[in-house]
Amino acid sequence: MKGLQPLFLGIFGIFTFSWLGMTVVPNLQIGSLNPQSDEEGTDVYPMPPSGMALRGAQVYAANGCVYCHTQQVRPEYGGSDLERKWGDRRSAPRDYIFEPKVLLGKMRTGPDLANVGHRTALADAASPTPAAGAAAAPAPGTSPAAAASPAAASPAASPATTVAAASPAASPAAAPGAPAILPPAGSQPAANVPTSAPSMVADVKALTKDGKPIPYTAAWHHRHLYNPRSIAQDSNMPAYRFLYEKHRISGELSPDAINFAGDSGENPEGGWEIVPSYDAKCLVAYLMSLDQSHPLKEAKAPATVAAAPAAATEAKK
Amino acid sequence: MNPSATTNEEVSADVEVTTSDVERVERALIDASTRLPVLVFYTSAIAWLLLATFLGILTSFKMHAPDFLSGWAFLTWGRIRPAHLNALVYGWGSMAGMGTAIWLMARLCRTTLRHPLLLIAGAAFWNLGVLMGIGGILAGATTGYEWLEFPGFSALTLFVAYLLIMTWTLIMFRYRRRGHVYITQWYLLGAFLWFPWLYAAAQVMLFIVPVQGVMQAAVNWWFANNLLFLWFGSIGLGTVYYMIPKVIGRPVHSYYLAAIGFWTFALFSSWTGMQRLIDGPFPAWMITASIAAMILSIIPVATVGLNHHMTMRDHFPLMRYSPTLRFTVFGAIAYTAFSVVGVIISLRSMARIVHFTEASMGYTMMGLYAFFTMVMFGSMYYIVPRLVGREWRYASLIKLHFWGSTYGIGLMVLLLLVGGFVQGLSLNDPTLSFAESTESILPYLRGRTLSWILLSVSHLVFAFHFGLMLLGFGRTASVPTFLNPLESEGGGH
Amino acid sequence: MSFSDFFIKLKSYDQNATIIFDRDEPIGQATDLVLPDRRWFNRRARRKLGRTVEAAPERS
Repeated sequence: MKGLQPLFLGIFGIFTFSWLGMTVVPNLQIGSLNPQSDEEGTDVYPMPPSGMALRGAQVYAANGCVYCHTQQVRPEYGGSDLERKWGDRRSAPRDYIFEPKVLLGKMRTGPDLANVGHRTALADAASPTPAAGAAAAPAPGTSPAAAASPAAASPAASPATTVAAASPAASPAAAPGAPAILPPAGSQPAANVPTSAPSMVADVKALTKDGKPIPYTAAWHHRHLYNPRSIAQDSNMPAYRFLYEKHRISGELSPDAINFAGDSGENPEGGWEIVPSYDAKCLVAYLMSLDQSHPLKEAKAPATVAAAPAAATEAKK
Repeated sequence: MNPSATTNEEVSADVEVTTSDVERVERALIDASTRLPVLVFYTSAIAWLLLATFLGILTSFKMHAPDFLSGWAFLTWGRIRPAHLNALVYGWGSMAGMGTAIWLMARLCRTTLRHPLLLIAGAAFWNLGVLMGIGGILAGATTGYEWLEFPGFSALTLFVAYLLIMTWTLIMFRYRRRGHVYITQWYLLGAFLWFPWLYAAAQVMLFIVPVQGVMQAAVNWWFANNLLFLWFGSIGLGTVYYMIPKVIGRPVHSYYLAAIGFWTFALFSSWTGMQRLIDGPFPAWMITASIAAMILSIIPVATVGLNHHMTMRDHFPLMRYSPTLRFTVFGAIAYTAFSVVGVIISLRSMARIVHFTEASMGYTMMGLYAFFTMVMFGSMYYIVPRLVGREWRYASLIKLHFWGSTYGIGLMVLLLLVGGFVQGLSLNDPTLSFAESTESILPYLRGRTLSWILLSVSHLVFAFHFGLMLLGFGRTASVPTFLNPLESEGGGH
Repeated sequence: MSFSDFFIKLKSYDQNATIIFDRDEPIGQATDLVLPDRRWFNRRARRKLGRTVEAAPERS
């Protein structure tokens, strides 16, 4: 055994060194963060997610969404994330403290989802003031809506600019502080209230002029999950039809039946409707709970980018 | 014959008489004692490889044909992708690696493997764990963490199986013939001791006492990267250190370099991982530390590469005749390339472009396939004939296997790295819509399907050839243990 | 420890590199050259085959 002690000691020592340095020490630094709040103890961020969102995270993981979608916004020097309106500021460790599963992702075959629950508000905020929208456009020739909703690229572009008039539910939301900009139902504990039936109805009502769901609303998400190509023609996202059920319409159309307006190929034959399963609803609730728009002390929105989208800056104040 | 009957004393007592014969008999006994377990490991590994290949084609194809077979939950892209990679990592890579490691350990310790049945039980449990894990992934019980997707019960089975296997390897080491400890044994000991700690630490920190928030991602990447380096890297490098000198009949060029390479490898590569989270929501020092470690890991890579190159010097032509050497040298060169690419894509200026693109997949495949898998193929070409007592039957099949794998993985890595770069450029250009960045990679992804088809052909050929060996259809060599290369003849063809 | 001791130690350490060989599979002897020489494979290599393999032992 002579001469072998150094070998074993080295093997263990090196590993301990790596384990301590790469997991234990960082964990001491960022492993027990608390939500931030202002002086009065109100305006707490982040908030624990709802039960549906928790389950939705499991659905998200189970179906491998994480292999194509990231949930992190890089700072302005790290890429074009902010210019693509994937967020107003970089993601910070505190954004994730209540996430049931932190699925940061490593691949962007699909767009980033860190703020996907906030994008409804973004899409709306851009439209009421076309001037601000034009200023926000990264380059002439690109419509603001395309920048705000990259996944939906072409089909979404035209409806989004015409949204405001047709969506009474959404326009008042643009005024108050960021957390309240969320979809209709998200009023009280803000961020994470699931999209239950009432909001679904609200979503259904909030249609673009040609009858399609507004981008990033629950109705839009369901249609996108059921058939991504009915939203974005060239998308290579798989369809998640197994999360949906085909029902015979009994009496009235279910409030949460998928709206296939503008896509004649997808409409189920007469007398049938496609409704989301509970898992699909949870998944959408989870997606709509993803929102890092609330300001954080440690991650300020960069001045240059914040100046451009006037609407977003105003919403922050 | 009872392998355990031959003890060390017996052998050393007869030294004067006919050392050569004794050594030959001793080696035969050692090989015989490892026959069953190692073949069990190899057979399972190859079965998993075939499954992984099949899932790989499917994964790759569905990437550009998203509506193909998307109606069933268990065939959705997001499930077969982790199933594919986990079959590759835990089914193929780990089982092949452990098989080779057990054989090398027995040989280098010059001790017979006692009670091989327990080792076989370990292999059976490991198979069960992987089977349940892949079933769990397909059924939707995924955890969602890269390379840790197996649900808890499967991870526990794997861990128990692993402890059994590890114990047997360490017992072999404990009862080794006294003498020097060869560099391969260092690597193998390292791998066998690092893996359980790594796996247990990741499981505990992610599932049993989950760490908060983004630390989960940090632990995940720490695990995945260390699995690639400390587990697959160690086994692969250890195997190379044995195979190259042994095949060409020339000692390692410099043993000091080998030792320096081992320690620097362990020290630096164990600190990498966080560079995959560059610009993410983490304290900057973590990422900087990993980038620094990545750059420093050029030292062991250069050391190891130089050492192998100097060992091989003037012997490269032998690659034409030895399948083992061919695969092993390919793997060794791929290791250098893998590390260089790893450094390049983790530099901040480059990471800004290729981060979040397919380039990271290309990098992973370089390590997992171009380096590790090729080395494992090489070791199988060396070891299996010594276990079944027959020669590989068809030289042409070996060549087909080699070129299929070489072109397959070469094409795949090239496509993914270049495609990732192109994808990254359009991703970083905010004037282009996001959809355009995905479109820019699609041609490369179609090409990747082609590379998977090449790989699957080569894997099927290899599995067929291996099956022939198992069933005893190998060529019986007239000379013992293939001593004379010039007399060996090609099989019927 | 004097330098000579140190070098002796280093030298014995370097012998580790040879422990995978023995009398039966000695240094200088290739152990796995089983791919047969084939006509279509590489003509130039075929001519060199004899030289290469036989020359190997002397070099190491």
